[in-house]
Amino acid sequence: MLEQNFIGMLRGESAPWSRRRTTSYLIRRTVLYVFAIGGACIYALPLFLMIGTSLKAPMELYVRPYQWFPATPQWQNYVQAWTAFPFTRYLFNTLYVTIMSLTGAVISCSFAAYAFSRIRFPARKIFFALVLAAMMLPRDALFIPTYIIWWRLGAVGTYIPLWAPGWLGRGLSRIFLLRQFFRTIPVELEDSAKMDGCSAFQRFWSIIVPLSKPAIGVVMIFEFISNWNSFVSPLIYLKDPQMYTLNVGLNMFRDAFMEQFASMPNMHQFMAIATIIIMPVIIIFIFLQRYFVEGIQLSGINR
Amino acid sequence: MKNPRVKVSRLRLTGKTAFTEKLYTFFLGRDRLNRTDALWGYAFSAFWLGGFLLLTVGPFVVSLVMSFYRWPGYGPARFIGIHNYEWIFTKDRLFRQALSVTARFVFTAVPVRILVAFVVAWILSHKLAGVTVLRSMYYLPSVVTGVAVAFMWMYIFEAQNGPMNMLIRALGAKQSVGWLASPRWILPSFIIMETWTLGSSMIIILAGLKGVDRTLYESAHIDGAKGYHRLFHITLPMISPSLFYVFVIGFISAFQMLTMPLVIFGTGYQDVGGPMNRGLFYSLYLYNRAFQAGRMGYACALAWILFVIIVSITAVNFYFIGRKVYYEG
Repeated sequence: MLEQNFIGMLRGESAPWSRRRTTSYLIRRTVLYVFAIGGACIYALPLFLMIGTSLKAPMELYVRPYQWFPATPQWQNYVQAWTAFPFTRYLFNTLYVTIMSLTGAVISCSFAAYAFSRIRFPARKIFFALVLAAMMLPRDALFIPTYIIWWRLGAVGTYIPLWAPGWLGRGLSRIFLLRQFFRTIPVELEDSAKMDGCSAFQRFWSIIVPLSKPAIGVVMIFEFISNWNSFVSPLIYLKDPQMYTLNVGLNMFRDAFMEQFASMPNMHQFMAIATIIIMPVIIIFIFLQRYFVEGIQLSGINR
Repeated sequence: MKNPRVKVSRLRLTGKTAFTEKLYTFFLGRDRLNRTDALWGYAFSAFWLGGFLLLTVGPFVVSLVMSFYRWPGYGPARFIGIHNYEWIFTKDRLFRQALSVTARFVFTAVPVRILVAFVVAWILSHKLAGVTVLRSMYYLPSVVTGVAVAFMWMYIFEAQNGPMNMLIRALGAKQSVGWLASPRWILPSFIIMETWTLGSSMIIILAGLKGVDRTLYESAHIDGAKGYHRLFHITLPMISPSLFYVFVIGFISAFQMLTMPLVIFGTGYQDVGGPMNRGLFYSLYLYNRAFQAGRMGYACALAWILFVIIVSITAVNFYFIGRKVYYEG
């Protein structure tokens, strides 16, 4: 920095970083701020509209000019919509699936990541190459053969196809993320434990896990959100309406009450349910956003 | 007197022992002291390995095999040879429609999203006050997905009184636009939706931009480089790994997009994929064939074709664009 400044001074020109107060600098900053803030508002707008609409009275849906936020928020929309369908039951179903899957994902992904980062065994390179290759494969397109497999195993109609993939380490980006994190932990810690005769599992459990709480937290957050948002699997695998998750329930709610495609009546109630469903995710995001960014930067993927 | 020669205790392996030893070496490595550890390696990988076989390799094999059968989802399957493929490539007009809809979407939405993500990341790479809050506001839409968000878009794009129509009327448009209900506007609507979720691409590009060595800009400035020179000769080459990554991943996931079209067009419309099937995304067609038309074998053939397409495009990306990526060091 200093010598660059010096060279600039020698050449008789002001370096860009010393041009703090010039007019062009101020104009550029202002334009940047306008675009940054304007864009951010546009990005937040759809969610704001959704929440605003969820509080409108039915007649206010048609008011022109557009009403951003109702004069008197109709909080009873939430109660009405929530009780019109067994959403409470769906909520517990969703929580059950999410927690089962999340527990499994933490265990399976951290195990695999530990094996790939710290244990020397001949198949390690091949296994990890398979992980990386599979990350590039279009696995979501295979939901039909996956369905056939679960059907063969007699698991269609149960919750097993929804949480078992978590236990089976399907979240490859999570494995990758944890592996990257485990590699930052000094090996010496484990070497000394190895001298004392700790087995690989003991080393993992008493050294790696306590030191990796932030990374495991990131995995839990991502896993929670992906399960909370998942729609296609519960739609395919759940046959009994009593077992539906929130997303499938909301879809059924639409089929039951929305006469035509995307028509306006009842829109306030749909928005109310939709708001309730995304609220936990938004709250988690607001409080734990630092982990999201770190997680993406570590693994490159947010799914 | 026997010669008290000390026997060299060299382990001589014969027969069964030699075989086991070879097996051990193959699976657990040469280092005998670490064999317990190596065994643990397999134990730790077991969950993932089971999943890999059951949920990655399994579906590939199953879909390949099933694509030669006719199976309605119950009862016995009937072997019909390459009939499914033959039908797909010669008679199935919906297949062509699905392919063209998906291709048009992928090749517009992904570049648009990455371009916008780059602009946003570039703006946010400056030292602005409250940049963390701004970054969160851009990233938030990528966290919320699923049915709720599909509903939100259905409301926003509502054909008569939706906010989007109110907006374009306020801007001076004479008529309201049908958006998701009109064949012409489905693709633009989906591009808008896709661009809304640019969060993770933006974060990855932003990390790339932050990683560019500042001194490069300073020396370029001293050498008299203009703004666009800096963009094309420093910024873009330096962040090309990030760009390439979001490009490849973006293609792969956009080809498989299912939740949005399924919620929006899945029910309540007489065509499978929305008005005039203009929203017939490939995965939606897969879903329709398998679970609504009851043609599992046919859907497996379609899935296999999609798989081949995506893998080829990924390979082409790596071959033609990947070689232009500049990796530092």
